[in-house]
Amino acid sequence: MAQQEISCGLDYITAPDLQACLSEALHANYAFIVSPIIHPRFRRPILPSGGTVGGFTRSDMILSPQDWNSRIVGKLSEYLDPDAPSPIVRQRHEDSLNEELSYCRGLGLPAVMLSLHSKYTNNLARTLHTYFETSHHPTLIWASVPMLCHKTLKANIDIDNENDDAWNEPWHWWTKFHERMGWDKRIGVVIEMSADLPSQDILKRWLGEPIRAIIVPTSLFHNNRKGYPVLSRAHQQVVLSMVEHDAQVIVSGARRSNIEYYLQYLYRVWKRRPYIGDDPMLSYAKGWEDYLQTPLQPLADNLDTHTYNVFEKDPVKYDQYQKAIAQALTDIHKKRKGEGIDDHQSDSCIIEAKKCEVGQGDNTVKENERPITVMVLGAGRGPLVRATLNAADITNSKVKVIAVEKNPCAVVVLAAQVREVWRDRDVIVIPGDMRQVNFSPKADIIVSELLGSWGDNELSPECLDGAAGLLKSGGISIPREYSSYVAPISSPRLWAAARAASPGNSAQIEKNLETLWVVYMQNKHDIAETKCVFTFDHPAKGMKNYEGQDLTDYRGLPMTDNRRCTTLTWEVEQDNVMHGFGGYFDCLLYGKEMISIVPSTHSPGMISWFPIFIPIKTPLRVMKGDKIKAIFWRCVSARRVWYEWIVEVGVHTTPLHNPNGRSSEMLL
Amino acid sequence: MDNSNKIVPPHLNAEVYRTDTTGTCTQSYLDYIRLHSDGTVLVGCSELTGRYWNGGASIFEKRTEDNKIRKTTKKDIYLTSGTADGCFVENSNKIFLCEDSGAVSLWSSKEDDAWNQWSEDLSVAEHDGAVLSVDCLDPNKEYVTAGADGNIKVWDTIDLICIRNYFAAHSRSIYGVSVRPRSHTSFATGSLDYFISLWYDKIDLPALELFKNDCGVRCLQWFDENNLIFGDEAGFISLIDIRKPETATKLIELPTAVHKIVIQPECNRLSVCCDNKIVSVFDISEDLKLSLIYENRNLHSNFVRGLVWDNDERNVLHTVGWDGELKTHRLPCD
Repeated sequence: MAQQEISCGLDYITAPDLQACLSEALHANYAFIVSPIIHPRFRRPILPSGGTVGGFTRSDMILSPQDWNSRIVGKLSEYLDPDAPSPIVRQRHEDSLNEELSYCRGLGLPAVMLSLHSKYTNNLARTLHTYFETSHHPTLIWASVPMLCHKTLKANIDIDNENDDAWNEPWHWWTKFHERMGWDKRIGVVIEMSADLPSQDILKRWLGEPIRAIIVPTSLFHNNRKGYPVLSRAHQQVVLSMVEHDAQVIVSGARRSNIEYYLQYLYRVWKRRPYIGDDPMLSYAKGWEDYLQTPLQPLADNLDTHTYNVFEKDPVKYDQYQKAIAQALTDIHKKRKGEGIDDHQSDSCIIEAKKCEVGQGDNTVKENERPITVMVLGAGRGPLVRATLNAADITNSKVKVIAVEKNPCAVVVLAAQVREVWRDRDVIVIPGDMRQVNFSPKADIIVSELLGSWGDNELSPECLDGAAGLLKSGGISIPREYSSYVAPISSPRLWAAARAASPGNSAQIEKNLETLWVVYMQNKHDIAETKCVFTFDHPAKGMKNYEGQDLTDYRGLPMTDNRRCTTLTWEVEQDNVMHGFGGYFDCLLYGKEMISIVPSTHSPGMISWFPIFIPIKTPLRVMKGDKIKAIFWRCVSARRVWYEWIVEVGVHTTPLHNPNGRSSEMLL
Repeated sequence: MDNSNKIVPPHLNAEVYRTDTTGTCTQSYLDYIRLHSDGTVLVGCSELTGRYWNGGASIFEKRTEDNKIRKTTKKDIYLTSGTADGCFVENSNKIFLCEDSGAVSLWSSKEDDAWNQWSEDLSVAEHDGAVLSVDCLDPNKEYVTAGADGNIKVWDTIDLICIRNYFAAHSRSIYGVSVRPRSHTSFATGSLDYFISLWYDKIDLPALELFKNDCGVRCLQWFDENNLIFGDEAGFISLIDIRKPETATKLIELPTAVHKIVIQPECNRLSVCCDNKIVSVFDISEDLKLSLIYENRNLHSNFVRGLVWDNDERNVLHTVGWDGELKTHRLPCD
């Protein structure tokens, strides 16, 4: 969740007087301190039978329990090296590590910090797995890594422009460790900022990791003219972007200035961060960052009034619809004028007509006065009816609005509006499923809003094809065309959240990772660009049989095929780990009126849709130059629709996800 | 034990402990010992397990009559954090201390001061981790320190100004620094990042990566201009001939991590202490092999941390340890 405030901690090299250090930091307004739990130089003999040194550190009674479990981040001894090549060192340090961990468990610390120094972390990860298995306190593990590996940098100093390795190296240490920990969400990364800063690509990749804190060494500050410590603009930017991604800030290193000044400076930087503007999405989505939800199934379930209320609040979507309807009305007028008065078959009267003055087959009526029939399919509580009436007023057209709605509760609301608000407008409500309603006159325009976060995932194609009989031939469908998009992403946080979304046995975990999740994605990194998956047009063209003739169903409607299969490939530009896809859609309503949640073309201020996250069951490690190949299928049966997907990288391939819709499906 | 007249309600036990700091004077862990040629002894100590992790140093005269050092219980210098190393500068009235807080400090006592009080002349906190080791590059002028922050710093001790900073010299704690014999600029460092590096006054790059070990390096010392001896976490003492870098010869294996080695150059002897109570001395043969000539397992009752060879009598070795004791070992005459 993006923070409103910046939270800073103060690192103590050793905290000689823990009480004094804590109160010093709290007085200076730091939120917590980072301190070793056992003196970093205190070595002790540890035998498998248990430690032989009883009092290996100070008494925990010097602080109150509240201080221990909210104010202290414990540092494990820096010398611990449970993955040393030397077997004897490995064993001894594993024993010491266990002793320190079990002591930390006793203290109930909010977090325990350790540092990673290489990509060899198997034994460390194994030890921590055991720790988690036996610990019931929600202690987090913070793994700290430098931003830059100086060793690699020095080794590569002769090679020009080959510095990427030095920036990649610590990231590899971290993700290998996180992978070994099963991408556990109790593990976070702490990045120590370096004097030189990496490229934007590297920084962005870090922002996709679960960053718990950024360490700002005091050596990065320089004194301004008044003698106060300040950071360079580039360093400020890095701190801000990390804090915006939930990181806390840890000031560490020699006290080169008053510790209060560092904190005051960081507060100031945070306060005067660039104004992002009043993006409604940002305020609307606050609190929903990285929170997974199952997609709605408006076709199978009826939405409740609160859900309607939320979606009607979108300031942009209905405006776009209104513009599209207005454009369509204008175009129909133009067309009618162009065609002249050749309307031979006048609109017959409506079966359930309340008012019969409309279109009484008088050929002499001016074309522009003959109302245009606009059918709103899935009218809900009526926002699109309102948009249609507005569009008619704006274009000075006469419209006949027919609102079709299957949800009985929404029908009540619509009927009330027709009675009370739209009583002198030509509005008719028809209860029922648009796929089954049979009705004339046929519509000049059908308007619907049936799109999900991934375009067709709320079964808009099936609904609209089923309602094709309601549209005149040559009529207009709003929307006219929509497409789904995906981009491969790295996000340990989303992946772990999806896996744990509904807890249960391994079968449930497997289901969770074969499901599409609606989520306002924050803590993720795009591995490659967004590409188009499935596209649907309306009115849809029917299939032809092997003789080349149009196929029709029993009602005479064109038979459409809404199955799809798309293969996409991406080239990887940076080492990364793929956890799944971010999914989006865009939609051409009519003319040039679009709505989009594709990041590069997102309709500004439109809040109705969060993207979706499509996980893959086993995260795939991808290297620069690798090709990611993904195949998506949209499968349709008589009563349901589902997606299946598979991903290949080099010789690695995931299993087929969601075969036969076993884990997630949309009911027709 | 006497009964106390102060009755503490049992349910306030923890609160009373938190505020009652009267009983906090506990044992000190002695970390190192240095001996000046005029017979003055410097012993550094830290509190590592008590309520306050502070430290201190004692400076006193060696008794000449029996060559034994009687440690005074009084500390001459109190530090707010522990101290892992220190040394004399210029003369026995001036010392350089490395502190766990990352500070280095210079202390002196006026010779005419009847109370023999030590005062801090200068203190500079520039290391971003505990300062773990110090050695002398140029007597009375330049001293080199290495720290847990992976940095090496060369100090001008006249004004205590850092004149060279080898930033991120190692990626983990540097436990040992040793100046190369007959050099004023060159020194070797050993670190928990497994590397042993040789440095000149160029700060960006080590002159030479001497060796990559299979575990952390705890201590090192030059035997002569070309041979460097080091001890590691696994308990091995090994030898590097810097004319043949990237190779090391394992000389001996000890039961646990080697904490410190001190060579007595004129006698080709090597004294060693580990993460245990044992003091050992090895003879270094012509072909650089070690043979055990002395071992003591019971003088100290906790880890031995510091060793120094006597400057009057070459068969005498003084040691300090975490039992708070200073002991003198008399080796069998050779």
